Amino acid sequence: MESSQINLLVTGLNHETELKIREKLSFHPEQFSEAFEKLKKIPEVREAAILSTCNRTELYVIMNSLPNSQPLVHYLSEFHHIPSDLFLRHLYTKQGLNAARHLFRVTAGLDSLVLGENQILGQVKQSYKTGQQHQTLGTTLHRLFQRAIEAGKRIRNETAVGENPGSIGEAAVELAKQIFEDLDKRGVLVIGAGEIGEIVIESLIESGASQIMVANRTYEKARELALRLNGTAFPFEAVTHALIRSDIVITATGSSTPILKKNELEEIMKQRRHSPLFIIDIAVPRDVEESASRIENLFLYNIDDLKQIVEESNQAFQKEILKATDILEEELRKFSEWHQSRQIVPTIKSLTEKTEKIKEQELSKIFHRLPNISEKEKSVLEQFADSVIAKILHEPLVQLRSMSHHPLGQEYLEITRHLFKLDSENQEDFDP
Amino acid sequence: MIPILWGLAACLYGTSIFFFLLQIWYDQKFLEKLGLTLAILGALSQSLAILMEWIALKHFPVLNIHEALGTFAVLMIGFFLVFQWKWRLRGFGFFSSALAFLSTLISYAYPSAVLNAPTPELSGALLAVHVTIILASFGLFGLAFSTSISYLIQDYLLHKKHSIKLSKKLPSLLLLDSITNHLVTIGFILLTIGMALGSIWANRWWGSWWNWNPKEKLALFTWIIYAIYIHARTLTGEKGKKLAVLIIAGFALVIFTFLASNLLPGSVHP
Repeated sequence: MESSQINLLVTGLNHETELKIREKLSFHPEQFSEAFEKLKKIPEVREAAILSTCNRTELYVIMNSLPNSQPLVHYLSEFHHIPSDLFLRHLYTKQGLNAARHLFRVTAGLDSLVLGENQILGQVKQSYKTGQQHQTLGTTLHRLFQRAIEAGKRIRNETAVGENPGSIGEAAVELAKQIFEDLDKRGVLVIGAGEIGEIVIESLIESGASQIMVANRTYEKARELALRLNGTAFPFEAVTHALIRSDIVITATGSSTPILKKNELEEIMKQRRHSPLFIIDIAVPRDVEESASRIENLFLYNIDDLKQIVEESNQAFQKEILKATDILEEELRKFSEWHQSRQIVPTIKSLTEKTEKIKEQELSKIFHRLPNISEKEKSVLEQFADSVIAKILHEPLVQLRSMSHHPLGQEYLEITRHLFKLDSENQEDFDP
Repeated sequence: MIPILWGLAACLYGTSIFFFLLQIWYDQKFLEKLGLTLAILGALSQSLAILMEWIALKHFPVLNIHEALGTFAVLMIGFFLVFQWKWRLRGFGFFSSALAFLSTLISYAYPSAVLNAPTPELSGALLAVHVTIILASFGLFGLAFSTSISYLIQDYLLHKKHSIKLSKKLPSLLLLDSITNHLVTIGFILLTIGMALGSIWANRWWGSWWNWNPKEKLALFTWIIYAIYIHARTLTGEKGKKLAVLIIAGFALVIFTFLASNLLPGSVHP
């Protein structure tokens, strides 16, 4: 019942649609003036906002009648000069409270490719501002965007949904931060190469690691990778030297026997003056002797250890998502309550306007029949009429206002409108 | 009034431990603020007690262990606030409140009775400064003790694996190492100054710079342990678990020197 109250509709597509189509439907900032002009001209549209990022294009509109996506599909097709059957099957459409929930989810980063990402919050704010500039936001969209942005902020403050753990690379970064505090100026040594190894290194580099050393049995390969990672290549024979100088080591060789033995590492630790060393062994079979994990100040993690951390943090992350959803629903409820109360206000307004109109008509009839009436008598009559109306309307209005949070509130509103025949007059306000 | 303030301080430290523990578990800022506020109020209450005693006795009250433990707690909480303000260490509040609480509690085991009229040798400013500076160094060593305990726990968790969640409740190894280093360096300088002042005082009243009484021997031993740390950490660049163990041993010796050396035979040290 609730969702049918808001004539809100969202239609659009997100990262699930292939880029080829997504890019055709996106709006560039310089197109906005024209885009909003054309949106305003659609007769069904009362309020509108455009959210266009590299990952999504969405139109949020308040319609004058029951929400219907047809005019918007037509608009998109016409504006971007592409036939609608090309993108229609990718388009999702949501109405009423579901559409509101969609914007809240988007703003919170829960609809993003990287769950919980932060950028979208700024993009939604931008979309809100653009709508304001082009004066296509009415009270409802205004409120909707404000609430969504508020919910997005709260979710980022109150939950850890922005710290998406997700990958083995991130797990390695987290561990490294527990040892070294930050990764700036940390030396990272890569021995061997491989896809997972590169993912881990890239995560470390993203988090600030800047001194990359690469060693490989084939020096050419080391140079190639070093070039790509903006690091320096080492001949394989110099690994011991590199181990002394680095803090984080990633081993990923295809060697069938361990390349780093416990006694060698013990000697290296002495030369490092026992400064902590973090070794990530992602090779299968393993590159580092397992017993090396018992060496003091040396932290040895293999691929399974990292996988387990990822799994654990994914579970924790799921909990954060649930928390975020709770906050989102709470804010959505606030919006919906606001909207409901908004429904009552216009009803009361038209009701009092109607009685005022009746009063004036009837008074003018009476004054007409009594031409000799004095000004004092006139005002007494007026006061009389006012107080009768006020007394009669008092109780129903109090009841209506108190119904604003009542589940049957909307039905009472409908009944009131029906009893006093308010809709035929209100219709004028709705039509632009 | 003084015993009431003293007891109030103990209660405040005790409750702040509770909130710091909750903070470690639930990671909520307001819990930390609550813990900090209680610890500060505890230190203020204890400071007021010390101040009142100072006015009443007309000399700074650090002449018996009961009084000294209170000054130690206040100074340590003060240093803690400075370091916490600068570094925001996770779990640091718990340790410092626990130490302040314990030292205030232990102070009850020692008589608070004061000499009615302290002899001129005991009433001088030099002695009060000597004791206070040494207490300040002990406060810093106490904080270094707690960062070293954190270091060992963090080291254990990282070796054990699969406990990243717990590990994230403590600061990183290198941060702990660096803060321990700062604490010990300042503490060591203060200890050296304090011992030198003590030596000057001894020369003035006992006629000799160094008397080899038990407390002096233990103090020298403590000084050597921290000197070894400074040598290893700063001069040869050593790092790691062994240094944390050394700091813990150093503080254990501090406690023994502080609390028990009077019980050893041949002690004349106040």
